Amino acid sequence: MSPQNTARAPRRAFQRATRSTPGRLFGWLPRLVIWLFVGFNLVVLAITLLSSVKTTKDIFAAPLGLPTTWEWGNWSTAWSNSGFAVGAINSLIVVGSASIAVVAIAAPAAYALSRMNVRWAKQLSTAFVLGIGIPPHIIIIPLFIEFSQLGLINSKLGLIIVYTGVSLPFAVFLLTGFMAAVPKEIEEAASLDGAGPIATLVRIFLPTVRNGLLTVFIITAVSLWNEVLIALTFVQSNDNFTLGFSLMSLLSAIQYSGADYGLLFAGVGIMLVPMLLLFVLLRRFVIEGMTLGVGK
Amino acid sequence: MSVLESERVGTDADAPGRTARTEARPRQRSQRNWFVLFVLPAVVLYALVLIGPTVFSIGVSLFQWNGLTPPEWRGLRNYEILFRDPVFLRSLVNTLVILLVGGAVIFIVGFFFAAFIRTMRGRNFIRSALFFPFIASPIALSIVWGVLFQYRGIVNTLLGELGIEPLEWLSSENIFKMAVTGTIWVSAGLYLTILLAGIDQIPPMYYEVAELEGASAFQRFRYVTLPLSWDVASVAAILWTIEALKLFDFLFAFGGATTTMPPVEIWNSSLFVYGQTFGDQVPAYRFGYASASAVLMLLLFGVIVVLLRRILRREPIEL
Repeated sequence: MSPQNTARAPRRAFQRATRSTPGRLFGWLPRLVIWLFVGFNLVVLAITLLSSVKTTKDIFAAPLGLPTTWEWGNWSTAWSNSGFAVGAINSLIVVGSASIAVVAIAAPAAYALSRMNVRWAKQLSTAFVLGIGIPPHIIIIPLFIEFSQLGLINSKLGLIIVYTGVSLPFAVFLLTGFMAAVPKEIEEAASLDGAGPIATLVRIFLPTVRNGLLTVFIITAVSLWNEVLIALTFVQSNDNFTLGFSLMSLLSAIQYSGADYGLLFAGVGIMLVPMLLLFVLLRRFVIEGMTLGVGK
Repeated sequence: MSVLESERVGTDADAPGRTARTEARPRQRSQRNWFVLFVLPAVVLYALVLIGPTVFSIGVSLFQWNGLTPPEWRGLRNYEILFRDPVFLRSLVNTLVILLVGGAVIFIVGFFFAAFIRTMRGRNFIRSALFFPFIASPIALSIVWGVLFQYRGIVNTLLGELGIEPLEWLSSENIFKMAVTGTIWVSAGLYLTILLAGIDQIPPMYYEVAELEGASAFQRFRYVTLPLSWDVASVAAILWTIEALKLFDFLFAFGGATTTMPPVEIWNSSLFVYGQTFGDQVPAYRFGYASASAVLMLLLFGVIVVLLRRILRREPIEL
């Protein structure tokens, strides 16, 4: 420190002195805490997957250890005897159909809301956003009664309709954002070429926002795959169970008939692994999709 | 950014509308028809599945009804009884505790983590590892959470190896705390990621200037990070409020099963509705009463969202 700087030097020194201890503390402690949380999640995931191939005794004797005998049978028992095969197929059908329907219905709506100059477009967009705030538990009672009269209770079609409806508001909201971001020049070029609204939507907008469509599809599929409240209310017979229902049934069976925790963890694994794979492969779409709607 | 956006929105809304009105009336009419065609399926389904049932629930809440015998008019009596029902009051308090305590922890931890993860090595991996519980099935995670903390569970086994006596994690005094902690564990990743995305939009220049000025870590957070990610954080806060009202799966699987409800200690608004109607071994089917509770909670949370928006709104900062 040169003498010319004496006026500022004491202040700097003071600042450095007051900063250094918490500063250095802030250097590694938060990082350690963050890594501890990351480690916790990884350990829980490891315990879950390891426990699914263990005996109950092994799970609690050495939670972090490798299995003494590898009980691959847990997975096949869960799959064929505990109804997870039926649940998985039903979930695939219901979730797949509903997610496709959501994208197919939300995309034209979002295009019209964000791109067409029509009165009420703005109010209608707001109305859709408000739908995000309607919790499922306020609609299950009327829907149960409405669908009983229509004969749609305990049918996959009924579940697909409800799932599509509850997912629409967020899908429309997200896609409106994607559609609004498409440059105006592209649209003008299309209309100069004499393309009508359907041609503009199908040939210009859908290819341009295909990442957005994929994102909405994935987010819808993930949340419906995990859904249980509506499934519990609407599904009553074994052949229409979704995967979440299978897992809840296995949980009740285990509460009554003594605990086979290896089997329970295998069930948890069947529910988790597809999401884990999806996440590893398509992480970008999942994370961006879920944060984009808010960031915009 | 916000200036650019508002300018673009401005021209979008004004110019084409005016030209269309003066030059091409028929074209505008056909556009209106296309608009209706494009929007109609979404509107119909939205009305059928969400709006209609919500309105219907408000009506049902004024009756006593089990879905089979004809409904019996009750006026506001269902609402009066709710306020004297200890189970409902418990569910109401629990819902608010999840909203406020859970929310406080999620946002404090979220901001704190996000501020540091920004500059950490392996940040994408960290973000993914913390985010994953959010897309994993809540009932699956809830079951794992339960097995970890049950009395003869995994955590007590591990503590035993360290010579620590087993703890009653899930006793009736503790079970709700563990349920809230689990909810935070499952949800925090989403809000952390949202905050991180908001913080990423802040130009690094501001941090450099702050550092040159000798700002401490806390000051950098207070005067750079917080104000410049405020908009994102306030939207995230509203999202959390909505999610806190919707929360069902994690709590339900934490001690419940297909035909049994979890202990009343961890009920929230949605578990109350399910418990009063379809849940439990002998379903209660108290449709009117359950609807009243759902309507009341929706009103309360509607007010909370409006208040939050009012409190969190402030002049936009232009980057």
